[in-house]
Amino acid sequence: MKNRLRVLRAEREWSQQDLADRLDVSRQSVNAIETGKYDPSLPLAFRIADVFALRIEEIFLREVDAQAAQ
Amino acid sequence: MFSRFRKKPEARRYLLRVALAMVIYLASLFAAEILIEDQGMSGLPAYLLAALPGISFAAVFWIFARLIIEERDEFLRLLYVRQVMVATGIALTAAAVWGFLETYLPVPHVAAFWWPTIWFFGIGVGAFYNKMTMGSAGECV
Repeated sequence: MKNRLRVLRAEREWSQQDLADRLDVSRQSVNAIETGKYDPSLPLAFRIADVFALRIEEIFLREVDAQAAQ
Repeated sequence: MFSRFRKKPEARRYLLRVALAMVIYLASLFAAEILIEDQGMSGLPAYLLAALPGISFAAVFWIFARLIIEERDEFLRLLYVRQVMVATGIALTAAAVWGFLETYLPVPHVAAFWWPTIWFFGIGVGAFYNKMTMGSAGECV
């Protein structure tokens, strides 16, 4: 699943560790989600959405939507 | 500077438990060597003492299970489960293959305590596998 985590984080000038601290997860988790190696659970996806004050679908993109956007 | 190397409480507990299990393992191993091998201890106490190194060795399985249960980070939990699956696959495959080799061919006998030893080796392989495929080996390596 594609996501906009890296862009959203960069807009706020947060490091991966900054975001990890806000989410109460490890920096490795943030890196794995950003690079698409790991899709977060629904509760974690909601926490991510809360941290960025966005809806989940504004952060995580379905494969078909991601392909259409390209 | 060193904050990124600080271990989480779950990882610290894991390392402390492993260290404690290894101390008990080594102490019981030396006790068995001295009391059973050298001084000829026999009967029920000898059986209990001979079983002790294996039990403390096996405690590492419980310790790893506790790590998976106590870990609050879902991604790290996934890494640890994958690590256990790799280790278990390697150890059980090695045990099964060698068992049949011993049955049908004149190969040397391997003492059973080598299979959990191979499992520990497999934990290291699992961490390497995680690093290569998921970008992280977790926090307990």
